[in-house]
Amino acid sequence: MTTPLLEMRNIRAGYGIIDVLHGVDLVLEPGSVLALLGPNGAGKSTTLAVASGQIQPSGGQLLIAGREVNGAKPDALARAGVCLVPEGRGVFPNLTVAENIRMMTFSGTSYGEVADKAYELFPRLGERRRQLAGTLSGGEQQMLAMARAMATDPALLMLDELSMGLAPIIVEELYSQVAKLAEGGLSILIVEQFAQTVLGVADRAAIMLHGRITRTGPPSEIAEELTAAYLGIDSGGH
Amino acid sequence: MTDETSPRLQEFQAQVDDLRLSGGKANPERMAIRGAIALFVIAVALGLAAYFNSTSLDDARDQNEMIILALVAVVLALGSVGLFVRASMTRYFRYWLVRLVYEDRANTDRLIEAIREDD
Repeated sequence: MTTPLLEMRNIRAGYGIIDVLHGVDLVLEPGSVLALLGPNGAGKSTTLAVASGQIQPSGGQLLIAGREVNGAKPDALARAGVCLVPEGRGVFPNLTVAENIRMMTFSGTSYGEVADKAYELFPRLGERRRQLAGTLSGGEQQMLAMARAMATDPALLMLDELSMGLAPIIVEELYSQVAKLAEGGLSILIVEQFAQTVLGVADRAAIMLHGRITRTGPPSEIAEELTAAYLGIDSGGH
Repeated sequence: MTDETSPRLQEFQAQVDDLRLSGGKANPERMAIRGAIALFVIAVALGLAAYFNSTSLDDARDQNEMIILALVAVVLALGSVGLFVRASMTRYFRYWLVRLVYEDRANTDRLIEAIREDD
């Protein structure tokens, strides 16, 4: 039996006096893709913030590679290989593509190495290396965010709302890259509101509602229950 | 799924094992504010106890002990006020920083939008 790469046990967390997660249980096996789905305000992004160390849980256990890491600092987790691509892409809009990629040399990797990886993954970025990141299209900004993430050679990649505000054809292109990364053995946790594309690349999926995981299972089973979950209808017994 | 013995996974495991955990807590400012209030209550209680005890003492040496106790209460009260102010300001400045980051980002988006319109 393999040790889960990421495991949450009864995690509770929130912002100030507002609790958002009310006991989240989640398991991501090494080398697998887990899709975390749910409507706006369900607590998906907060779950990622807890997993990346940005928010400390007020209760429960956060385990990474089998070790409880409650209290670990986000920069320490990032250096170890836990990488979050936040909602809204998180690129520096007033820096060029090349400068954005240079920011990922924090771990000691040379710029050349980081840039080679990024441009290999998304050749379009190489053509636009002198362009301001803010002037890229939404899809290209998302590519830049993913390229920056991959340049650090993460062991656990977390993607928050990869498809937000993008045309379906761009979303498919991005998810084809995600599928390639998954085939390479990277463990990926993807948060999405709109599920169809992500379910095509996920090994398992979970539905989150009101700060709790209400259902976990294979994507084919989850797809059937999604509509009910989004409409707030009890699909029975979960 | 990948083999758990893959080199990257082993490296990751080792790095996670080496992580230093600060034992950070959720919402540390709230805990500090509660601690400061508790400390202030203790300080006031200590000060009052010193005052009422001193009134029944005739010996100046015993009264001196109560004066020292009262001074300790004053120091505790000042410390608790400092802790309270520090935690409150930290919380305030954190939200302020988030707001600045958000506004800076929104401003950059507006500039870029304007540049696009000019093109």
